[in-house]
Amino acid sequence: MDFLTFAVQLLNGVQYGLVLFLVASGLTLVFGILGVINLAHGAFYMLGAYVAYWITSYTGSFWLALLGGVAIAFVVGLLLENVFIRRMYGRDHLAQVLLSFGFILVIDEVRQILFGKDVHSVATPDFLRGSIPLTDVLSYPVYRLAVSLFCLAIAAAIFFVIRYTRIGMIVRAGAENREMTRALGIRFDAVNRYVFAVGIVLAALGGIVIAPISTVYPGMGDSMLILSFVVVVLGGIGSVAGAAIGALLIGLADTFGKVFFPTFSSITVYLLMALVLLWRPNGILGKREV
Amino acid sequence: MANPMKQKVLPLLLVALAAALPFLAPTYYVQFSTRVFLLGLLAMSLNLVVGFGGLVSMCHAAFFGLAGYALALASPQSGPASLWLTLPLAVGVAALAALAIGGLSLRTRGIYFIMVTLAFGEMLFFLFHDTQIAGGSDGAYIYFKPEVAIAGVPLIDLENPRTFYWVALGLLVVFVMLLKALTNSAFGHALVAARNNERRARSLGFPIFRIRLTAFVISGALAGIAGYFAAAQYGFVAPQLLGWHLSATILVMVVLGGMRTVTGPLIGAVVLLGLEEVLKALTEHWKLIEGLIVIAIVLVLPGGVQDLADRVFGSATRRVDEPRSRPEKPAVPPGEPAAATREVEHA
Amino acid sequence: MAMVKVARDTKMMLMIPNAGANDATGPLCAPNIFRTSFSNWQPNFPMGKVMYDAGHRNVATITWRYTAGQEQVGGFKEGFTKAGGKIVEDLVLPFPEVEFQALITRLATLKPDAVFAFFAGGGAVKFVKDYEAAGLKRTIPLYGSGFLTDGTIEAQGPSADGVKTTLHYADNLDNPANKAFLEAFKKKTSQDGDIYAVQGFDTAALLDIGLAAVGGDWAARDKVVAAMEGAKIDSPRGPLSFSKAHNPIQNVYLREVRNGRNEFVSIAQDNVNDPARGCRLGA
Repeated sequence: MDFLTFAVQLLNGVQYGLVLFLVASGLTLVFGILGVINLAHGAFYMLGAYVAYWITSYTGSFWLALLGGVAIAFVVGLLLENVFIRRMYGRDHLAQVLLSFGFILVIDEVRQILFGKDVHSVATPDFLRGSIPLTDVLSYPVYRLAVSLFCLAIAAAIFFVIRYTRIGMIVRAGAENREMTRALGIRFDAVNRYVFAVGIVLAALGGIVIAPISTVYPGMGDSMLILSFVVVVLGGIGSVAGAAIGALLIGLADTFGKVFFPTFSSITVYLLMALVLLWRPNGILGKREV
Repeated sequence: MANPMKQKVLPLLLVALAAALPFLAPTYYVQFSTRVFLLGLLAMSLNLVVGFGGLVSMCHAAFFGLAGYALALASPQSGPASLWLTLPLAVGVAALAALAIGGLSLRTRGIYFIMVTLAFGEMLFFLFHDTQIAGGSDGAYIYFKPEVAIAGVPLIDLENPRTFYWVALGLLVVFVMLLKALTNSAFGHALVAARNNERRARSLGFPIFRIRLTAFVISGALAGIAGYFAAAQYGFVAPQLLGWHLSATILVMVVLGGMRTVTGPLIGAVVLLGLEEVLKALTEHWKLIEGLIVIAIVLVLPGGVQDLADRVFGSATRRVDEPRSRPEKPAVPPGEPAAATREVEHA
Repeated sequence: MAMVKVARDTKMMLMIPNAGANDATGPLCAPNIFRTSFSNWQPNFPMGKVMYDAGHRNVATITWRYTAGQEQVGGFKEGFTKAGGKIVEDLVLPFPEVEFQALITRLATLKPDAVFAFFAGGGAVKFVKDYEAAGLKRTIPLYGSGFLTDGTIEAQGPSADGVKTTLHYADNLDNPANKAFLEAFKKKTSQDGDIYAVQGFDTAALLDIGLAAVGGDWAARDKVVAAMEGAKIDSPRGPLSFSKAHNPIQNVYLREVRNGRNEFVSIAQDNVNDPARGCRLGA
C-alpha cells in the first residue's frame, strides 16, 4: 500500500473514530457520572437520524434538523430521567439492562409506526457539498471533514465544561463522593437530569450528523450500540479521554481491518478489545479496582 | 411452614399434565410448547450464573447458538447425524467457548463484565455472520433430525413432533433436578456466598474465580444442550441465534420468572412466550407492548412473577427459606465513597 | 429458502414473486415451485458481455458478503470472463454494513476500467452517493445489477445519473403490455409501477393460466403445473415463458439512469435462460 493510500485510509479511520467518539462519550458520561447503564443509547442515535430525516423532509433545512433534533433529544432526555432513570440509581445493573432493553423495544416499534421500515436519505447541507481532490482519481467529501471537525469541537467542549466550569466541578465531585457533595449543599436532582439529557443529546447528535453520510435505516442503532460499548469498555468507563482513545483505535482497526482482512474485519474490533482487557481489565484509562 | 403436599405433589402433577399435552392439543401447540421448554432450559442455565452467581451475562445466546451451529456443521445433507456423536460435540464446543469467554470476562467485574460478555457474544455472532463457515448471514439447514440409534436400530424418532416434545420434557425434568442438586451443594452455596458478599467469601478462603468459572462453564454447557435441540427442532440455524437480542430476552425471562429459584426462569419463559403469542395475534406492533411490559416489570415488579404472586396471595406462596424478593443493592457502609461500583472520571 | 424447503416437504404450490436465490430453481427445484421473478444469476450474466463490448477489460466488483451478493456478482463474473475480460479484485464487506469509505479508497487505488456493484435498498443508495462524493464516478464508470438503481433513484438523486445497470425490466419499455400496465397501475394505486409490481402482476397471470387450464379444479395439480410450464405470457417486461426448472425465460435489458428513471438503452440479451445448475427436473 503506497503512502498516499495509507494516508487516506488513516483519514477514513480517524473520521469514523471521531463519530464513534461522539456517540460513545454520551454513553460513558451517563455511566460514569450517573452509574446507569443504558442499552438504548443506540436507539437514540437512530432516533436522531430519523428526526433529522423528518425535519429535513418538511423544511429542507439541515440546520433546522440539527437544532430541532438537539432540542427534542434534550427534552426527551429530561423527561426520561425524571420518570424512569431516577428510579434506577443505586439499583443493580440487571434492572438497568432490562429497563433500557424495554426502551429499545418501545423505541423501535414507535419508529416503525411513525416512519415505517423504509430506508431514507438526508441531503447534505448545500455549502458543505463537494469534494476535495486528493489524488487524480479520489476525492474526499467536504462534509466528512466537516463532521470530523464538529466531533473534535464537541470533544473540546466536553473537556472544557468538565474541567473549567462550575457545573463540571459539581459533576466531578458528585462522581467521586456523592454523599459529601450533597452534605455541602449541592442538589443533585437537577444535575442528574442534565447529565442524562446531555448523554442522550450526544447520541442523537451522532445520528443527525451522520445521516447525510450514512443512510437512515432501522438497524443503524444496533451496530452503533455495540461499537460504542466496545469503545467505552476499551477506554475505561467514565473516562471521556479514554473514550476518545478507544474510539480512534476502533475506527482505525475497523478501517484497516476492512482492507486487509475483509472477512474478519468485524471480529478484529472484538479481538482488539479482548487484548486490551487482558492487559488492563478496566480499560485503558479506567480506574483500577479498589 | 412449607407445605409438603405442595412440594412433592404439585410438580408431579404438572409433569403428568405436561406429558398428556400431545394427546389433548393440536400439533402446533405441541411444537410451541417444545420451543417454550427449550428456551426455558436456556433461561434456567443462564440463571445459574445470573441469579445464583450474581453475574449478569449478556452472551449466553452465543452458547445456545454455537451448539446449534455445531449440529448444523456436523449434519450431512443426505441423512441424519448420530445423536451420540453430535450432542457431545455440540455441548463440548459450547462449554469450551464458555471456558474461554468466562476465563477472560471473569477477570472484570460489574458493568465491565456485562459489556465484555456482550462484546464477546457479538464477536461470535459476527464470526458466523460474516464468514462462510456456515452460510453466513443466510444461515444453514439441518435437513434431518439427529438419529438416536444403537447399532442401526432406532430408539427414539425425533422427526415425530410428539416424541420430540417428550424428549424436551424429559430434558426439562432432568435439568431441574440437576440444577436443584447443584445449587444445594457446597459448590452452590459457595457461589451464592460469593454473590452476596464477595469480600467475605474470599476472606473465608473460597476460590472465587474458579467457582464462578465452573458455574459459567456448566451454565454454558447446559445452554448448549438447549441450543442443540432447538436447532434440531427448527432444522435451521442463523446468526441471530447467537445475537444479543436473544441474550437480553432470556434475561427478561429470568427476571420475569424470578431469579432466586431454579424453576423461576422456566415460569418466566412460559409467561413471556405465552404473552408473545397472545400479543402477536392482537397487533402487528406487539413488540411495543412487550417493551412496555418489560419496563413495568423493572419498575413495579423487580422480583418478577413470584413477586406478583406474593402480593396477590400473601405469604402462602413464599417458601420459608426464600427471602422476600428485593432488588440487589451493593452493600456500601455509610460514609464510604461508592467508588467500587462507580467508575470515576478525572478529566 | 426456508419456505422453499417447506414447500418441497409439503408439496404445497409455491409461487415466488421476488426472491432471487439461485438454489430455488437449482438444486432445490421442484414441480410445485414456480418463480416469476429472476434468479440472482440471470440479470447479471448479460452485463458481462455488455461491459466487455464497451471496452472495459479490467473490472473490480463490490458487494456484500452474503449469498445474494455472491450469486449476483457471480453471474456477472461468468459473463465477463467468458467474453474475455479480467476481474481485478472482488471487494466484499459484511452484510448489511454501509460504511464503504475504506473500500472506495481501495477502488481508487486499484484504478480498474470500471466497477460492477451489487447492493440493494439502503446500501445501494449510500454506495452510489459515496461513489460520486469520492469523485470516482468521473474516471471509473459505475455499472451494476439493476437493484442498485431500482426503487432507489429518488434517494440517490443526481449521484445516480449515468449509472448503467441490467435488469429484466426497464421503466419505459416500449411495448403495449407495459404501457397498459403502467397506466392501470397508476390509476389504481396513484404510484408508478416498477419491477416488483410487474413481478406480482405476472405471478397472478401465471396462476390464472394454470387455473384456466383446469377450469378451477385445483386438485388436478399435474395439469395445472403442465399448463404453467408451457405458459407464454405477454408481460409488461416483454415475452415471458418458463424453463424446465420453472424459472422465467426473459429478456434482460441494459438501462441507464436518466431523468430520474432507469431508461431503456438496449436489449442486453434476449430470452435469457438461467442454467439451473443442480436442478434435476426435466433433465
